[in-house]
Amino acid sequence: MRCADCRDAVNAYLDDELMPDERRAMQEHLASCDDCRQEHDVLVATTRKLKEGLVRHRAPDVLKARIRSSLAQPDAFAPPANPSRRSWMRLAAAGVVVAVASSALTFGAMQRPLGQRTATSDVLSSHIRSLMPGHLVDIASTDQHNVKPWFNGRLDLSPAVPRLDSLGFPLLGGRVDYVSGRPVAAIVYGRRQHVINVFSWPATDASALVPAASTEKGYHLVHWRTEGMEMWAVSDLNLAELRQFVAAFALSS
Amino acid sequence: MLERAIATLPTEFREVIVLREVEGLSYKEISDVVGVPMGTVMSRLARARKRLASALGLDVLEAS
Repeated sequence: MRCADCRDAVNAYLDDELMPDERRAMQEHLASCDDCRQEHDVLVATTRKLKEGLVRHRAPDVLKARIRSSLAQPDAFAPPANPSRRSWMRLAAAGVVVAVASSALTFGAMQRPLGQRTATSDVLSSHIRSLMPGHLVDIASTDQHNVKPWFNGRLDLSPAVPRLDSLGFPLLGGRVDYVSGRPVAAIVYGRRQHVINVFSWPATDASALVPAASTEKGYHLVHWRTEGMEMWAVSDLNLAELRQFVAAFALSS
Repeated sequence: MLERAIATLPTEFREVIVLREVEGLSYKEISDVVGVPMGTVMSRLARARKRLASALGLDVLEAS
């Protein structure tokens, strides 16, 4: 193998994407070529730093990439039982021992905050309360240019109010609601005869969270965190369509 | 700083880096999710990593 070929293949080698004979050729070349081995080591160091930094990265489009990636899975937004399972199995198969405590790979599994269950039942209570007659919206408007500014002076946050009518999720309005005794924004969308409440309030933790779905008392809840805001979508709408809604909502800004 | 280095990457570079390093997707899976050919995925990954290595000052390691 020549150095030029090695340079072309080094990323794929690192990502375990080479065929066995290509991989062997790389290993032999790296064993005997200082320059190429140095390039390889730089790459290893770079990707290690990336893994550590990216999981904590707050930029919205990093979260969007993760949402898009999770949508490609059949069980999109399922709470991750073991997010590192796929890469762990691949590495184990290659006979490489990995310290599972490596921060980046297990960070996702440890992200569920304490008190998550409390937030879930409080959010659900607010949702159910809003379904009682006259309690759904304080501002009834299908125009986000009416709904969004309505919160000025009523709440210390300006909620996202994307227009999703073209996807079949008409805006119905908004209201100030309470979750765990804290005032929150509630933006209301419809889907056929179903109501979707999107609750948002400032998060104490600034790290982003990909959407995770749960079900309680027959209602579906999807929780995510982006740009320092806790976001909850609640509805009795089926989970498949609620996922579509959340994806559209989260990807809209 | 890593955050600033990542922030200066073009969106399409950042996207493939995240799908690879955080989600652990294969080149084929990234190609399916992003909707570009595998060759493009590989090229973006390589270029993004090169830029980040340089921004982080990792490409001037002393030879042992």
